[in-house]
Amino acid sequence: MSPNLDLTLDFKRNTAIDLDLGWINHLKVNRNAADRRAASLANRRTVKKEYQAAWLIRAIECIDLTTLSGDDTPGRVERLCRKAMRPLRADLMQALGLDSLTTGAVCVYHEMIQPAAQVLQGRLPIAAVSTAFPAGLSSMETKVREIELSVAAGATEIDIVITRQHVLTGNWQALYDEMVAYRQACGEAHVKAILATGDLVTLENVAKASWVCMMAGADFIKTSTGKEGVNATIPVSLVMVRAIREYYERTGYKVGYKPAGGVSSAKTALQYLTVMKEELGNEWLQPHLFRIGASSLLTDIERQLEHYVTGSYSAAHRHAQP
Amino acid sequence: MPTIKEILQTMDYGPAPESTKEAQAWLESHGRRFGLFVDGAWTDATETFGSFNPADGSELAQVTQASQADVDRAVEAARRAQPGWVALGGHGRAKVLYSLARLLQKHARLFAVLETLDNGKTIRETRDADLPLAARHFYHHAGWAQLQSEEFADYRAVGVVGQIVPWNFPLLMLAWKIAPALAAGTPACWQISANSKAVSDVYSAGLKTTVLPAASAGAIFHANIRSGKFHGTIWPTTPTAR
Repeated sequence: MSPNLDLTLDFKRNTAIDLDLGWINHLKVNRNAADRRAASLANRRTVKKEYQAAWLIRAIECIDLTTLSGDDTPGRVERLCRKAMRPLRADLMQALGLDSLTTGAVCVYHEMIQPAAQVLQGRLPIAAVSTAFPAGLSSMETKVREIELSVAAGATEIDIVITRQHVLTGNWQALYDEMVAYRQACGEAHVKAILATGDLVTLENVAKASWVCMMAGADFIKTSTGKEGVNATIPVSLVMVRAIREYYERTGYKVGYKPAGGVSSAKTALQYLTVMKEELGNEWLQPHLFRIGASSLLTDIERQLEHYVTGSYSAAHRHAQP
Repeated sequence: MPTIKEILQTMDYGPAPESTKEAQAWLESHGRRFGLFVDGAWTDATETFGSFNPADGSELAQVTQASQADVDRAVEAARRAQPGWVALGGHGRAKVLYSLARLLQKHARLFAVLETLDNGKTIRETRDADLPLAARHFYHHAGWAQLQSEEFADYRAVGVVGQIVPWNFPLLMLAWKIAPALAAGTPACWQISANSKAVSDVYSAGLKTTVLPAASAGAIFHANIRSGKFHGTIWPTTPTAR
């Protein structure tokens, strides 16, 4: 599934290290510098023509095609899964010279794992949101059990939400313990820690929460549930990928990054790819280390790719909805 | 051209050149030959020299070398224009300066590409720095023109100003020098570095659409020029500057 398997050979999964409170407490973020870097970073590079098409294909390969609504039905999830396995029309695939293409995974609630698994038949990973998503305010026992049930139902990736109050009150030990427990409950399934950055108020909190979750063994850190007032932004992403970079330098573990919520245009997706390439390098442009949590994004990418192939734009409703 | 599959292996940014099509078309539509902009009108291109794209050595246009007579005419035109320009008042001059700023913004991409073709600096610099700043200078000094009667009540316009614009930020420096002069009620003549003449011609062409007593000339040394503005550090050292 990973396009460049040779790059992943030295990949070893993150495992929990001791919580280094001294390190957490010394973390500082220069807000103005972060904003400034974010403003120039996302727009200083551009990709055009066949390069843009290729980058958009890569964006598709990194999408966690998501449906997380109260009115999800098995029928909707089936449609989502079929779209995830064939994200582009056959004529576009042919014109782009591609043999096969899928999204990175599908992302659903626990109840929808079963219908998704029936359609996907193991051809694509299933990510399930867990631990009382999106608020995360159930009992610890309930949350851990939810992970176990999701893994048993066939989810290979678990997106957990952290308890925001631990960050807001500076209770890093509690956050660390919680994350360690989640990671343990996941077993072989990869765990993505949703920080809900829109709730964390400051970039410093984002940096600290990123570090604590990585120290506790998170495979991915993820911005948002998509339900907060503010979802993924470039400054927040910059802080998180810098944390990933420094964690890698200190421990040798490569942790993935997943922006989610608000990434709905092809242009925004390209900006995130640029951030990953500039800050972390090419390996973080692959689905084992980079995912985008999105649904309508795929339609916009299809429109852009159709424009690349045919020279004309079509309306969004001309494409099969994810 | 690499295939999409190949690019997916390398994930390179790839070339993303700014198109020069419109800028070249603009030069072409003027026959790649420019006279001087004197007294609100173009002169015939007479004694010309080439303006070259430093990136590939190609000739962008032939531009005119001003003679002493051209300079005389330009300064004379500016002198004639001055009383009317002063009489227009701060608000009247501000209107013109605002209009110039808006025109610059409207055609910002054309200017940026031409500046890059002409000067050789990166498009990122012309597009993101030179052009926005040049427009800001006109807006800024339009604001001062409006306040002139209150803030500089005792000041009188000095007369025709001669200005030398260097090669490194041609359009920006031009804006930087001409905007305050015009705001203060002094008509200006300017000389452009021979290395970056083409952009000035676009600018002059733009002036035709506004009511300005400005005049372009090849040199500024003239008995009727009351003030000179130089850029750089040549003032105390070289005889030319004196």
